[in-house]
Amino acid sequence: MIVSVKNLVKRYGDLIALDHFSMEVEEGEIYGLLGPNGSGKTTAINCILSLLKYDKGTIEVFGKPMNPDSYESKRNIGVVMQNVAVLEELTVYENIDYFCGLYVSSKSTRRDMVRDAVRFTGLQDYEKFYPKKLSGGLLRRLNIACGIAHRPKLIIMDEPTVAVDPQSRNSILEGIEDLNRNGATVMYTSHYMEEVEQICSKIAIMDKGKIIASGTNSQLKDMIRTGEKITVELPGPDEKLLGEIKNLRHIKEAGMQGSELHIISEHGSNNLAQILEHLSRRNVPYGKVYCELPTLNDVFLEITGKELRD
Amino acid sequence: MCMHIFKTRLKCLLRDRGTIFWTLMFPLVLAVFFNFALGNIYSSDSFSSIPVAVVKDSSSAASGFTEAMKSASQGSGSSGQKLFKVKVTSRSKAQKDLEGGKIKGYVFFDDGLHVAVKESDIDQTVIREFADSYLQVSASYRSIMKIAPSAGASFVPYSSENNIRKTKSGDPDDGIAGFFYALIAMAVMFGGYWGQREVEDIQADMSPVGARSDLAPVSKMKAFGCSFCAAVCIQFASLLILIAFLILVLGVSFGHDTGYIAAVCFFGSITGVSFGAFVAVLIRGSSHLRTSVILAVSMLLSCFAGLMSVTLKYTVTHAFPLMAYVNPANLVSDAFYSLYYYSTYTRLFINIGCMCIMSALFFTVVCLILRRRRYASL
Repeated sequence: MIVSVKNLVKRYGDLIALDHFSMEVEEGEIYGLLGPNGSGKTTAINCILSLLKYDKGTIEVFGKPMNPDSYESKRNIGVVMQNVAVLEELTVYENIDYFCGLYVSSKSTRRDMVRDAVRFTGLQDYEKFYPKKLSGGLLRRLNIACGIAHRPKLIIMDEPTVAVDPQSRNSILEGIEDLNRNGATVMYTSHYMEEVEQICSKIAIMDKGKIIASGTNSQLKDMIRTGEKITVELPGPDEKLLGEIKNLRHIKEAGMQGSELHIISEHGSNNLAQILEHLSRRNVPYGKVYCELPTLNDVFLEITGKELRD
Repeated sequence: MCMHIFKTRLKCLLRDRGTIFWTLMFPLVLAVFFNFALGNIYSSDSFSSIPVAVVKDSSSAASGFTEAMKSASQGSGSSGQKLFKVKVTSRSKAQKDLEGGKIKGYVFFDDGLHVAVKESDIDQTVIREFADSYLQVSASYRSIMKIAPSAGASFVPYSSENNIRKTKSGDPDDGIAGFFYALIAMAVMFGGYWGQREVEDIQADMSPVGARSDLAPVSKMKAFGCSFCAAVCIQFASLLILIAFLILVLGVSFGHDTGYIAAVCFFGSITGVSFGAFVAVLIRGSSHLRTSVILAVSMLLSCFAGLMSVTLKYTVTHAFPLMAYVNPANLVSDAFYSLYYYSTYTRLFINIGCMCIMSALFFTVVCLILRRRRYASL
C-alpha cells in the first residue's frame, strides 16, 4: 500500500473538515478524490503530507507513519499544489532546478532530471522566462514540473487544472497518464468529474469530509439506479405517448420539453431499444435520438441529493 | 544541498527589487537628502553672529562673564565661527537697543546673572544656554578651587574653544554625523525585510512556496540556516555600499577603524535580519501586515536612535537607560558613535555584545517556532 489513511478526523473549531476519513492507494493507481469545493479534499491531502495537524486517525505513506521529519518518504513524494508555488525571481529552468535540488544533490543527475521535466511539460521554449511572463496555463505546467522533476514514486496533485485553458488541461491530463505509465502512483484531486473519469483508475467521491462512495468508474455507476438519459425528437408534444412511455419497464422519469421527449431510465440494458420499438409500434415518426450514459455527477446526485457543482 | 539553497536564495534576494530598494536605495536617497538639508543648517555660511549686550558692572562675576562673551565673539576652532557680537553698555542703552531690535538680548548683574530678551527664539535660547553654561562651569571652578587650589591653574573656567567636541580622529565634530549613524541604524533595521522574506518562503501557512519547501526532505533548520546566511550576506553588502557612499561621496567621517566599522555592519546585519525573522514568525496575518510592523518598529527605533533629532536619542537614553541596550538601532548608531569619538573600544564592544545577545534571542525564538512544525490551518 502506498498511502493508507484510517479514521482521520480534522476539526477547524466547530467545523468538522474530515470526518473519520479513510482511504487506501495502491501502487500503480491513479487515485482520484472527487468532490465539490469545501468537501475536504485539500485538507485530506495536507494531512497526508503532514502539513496539517489532525485530531485523530493514522496516516502511513510507503508503509511508514508520516510526520514532518519523514524525509525518506518525502524524498519519494512529488506534490503539485493547488496554488502555483514558484519563486518569482527565478527563471523557469532555475525554479525547476532549485526545487529538484532539494531532493537530488548530484548536479549532473539533476541536470538530466530538469531537462526531462522541461521537456515533459513542454516548457522548452520558456526556460529563460520569469514566471510573471508566463500565461496561466504555462505557469501551471511550471508548477507541475517543479513537483515532478525529481521523479517521485508518488505524485500528489491537488486540482492542478484549475483556471487552465482546455488545451493546457488536456496536455496536463495526458502528462499524468504518462507519469503513471512510467511507474508513478498518482493521487489526483479535482471537482471536475470529467477529468477524474478520464484518467483515474480508482475514484473516491467526497462530501462533507467523508468518502461517500469509492471504486472504479464503472463500479460507481453500477451503484446507482439511474441508467441512460435518452432524448428523442418528436413531431410535436404528445401527452398520450408520454403516459405510455412512463408505463414502460425500467423507465424512471419521462417528460416533454417542446417537441423533445426526455427519458431517464433505470440501470439496465435494452432501454433505448425498448423505447424505439414502442415508437415504431405506435407509428410515431421521430428525428434525432441522443443517449447519454450516467456520469459521476449522477452518482453524486443520487447519493447526496445535490449536484456535484452546487 | 546547503550550498544549493544558499546560492539560490542569494540569487533570489539579489533579484528582489522591492527589498533591495528599501534596504539599499532608500537609505542612499535619504542620505543625500540629509546631506543637503543638514549640511546647510550646520554650515558657517548660514550662521550669523548674535548681537548681544552686557551691562557694565564692576563686580568680578560680571567681568568674568564679559571676558567669556568676548572670547565667544572672537571666533574659534577651524571654522573661525563667531557666536556673539558683544557690546558693553549701560542698562538703559541696552534696553533701548533691545526694543529697537538692534540686539537680541542683554545680560545684566543684579544679585546674580540675568538675561533680558524681547522674544523667545533660537538666538535668545543660545544666549540663555550660554549664560547657564557659564554659571555651571563657574560653579564647578569655584568648587575645585576650594578642594584643590593647585588644580585651578590647569582649569580654564570657560572658553568657546572648550565647547568644541574633539573626535578621536582629530576631525572637528560637524554635528551631523549622528544623523548618518542613525540612518545606517535604520538601514540595519530594514534588513528585517530579508528576514521576513526568508521566513515566509519557508512557512507553509505563509506562502505556497513555503508549503513546497516544507514538503522537501530537508530539515527546516538547515534550510532556514542557509537562507538566513544568504540574507545576512546581502544585508552586509548593502551596508558596506551605504557606508562607502557616505564616506566617499558625502564625506561623512567614521574614524579610521575600518575593521571595526565592518564588524559593526556585520553584527548589525545579523541583528537586522534576525529581527525581521522574529517579527515574521510572531505576527499572524498577511505579509503586508508583517511588512508594516517591521517598517513601523524600525522607524520608531531609528527615531529613538537619533534619526530625526539627536536630542531625542539622548533624552530617551537618559529617561530610559535600559532602552539604549535593547534598541538594536541605538546599538548600531552608538557603536559608530563610540568608534568616532572614543579612544577606547569598551563601549563599542558592549554595543556589539548586546547586538549578539539580541540576535541570539531572536534566532532562538525563530528556530523554536519554525522547527518540526505541523500547522493548524493553511
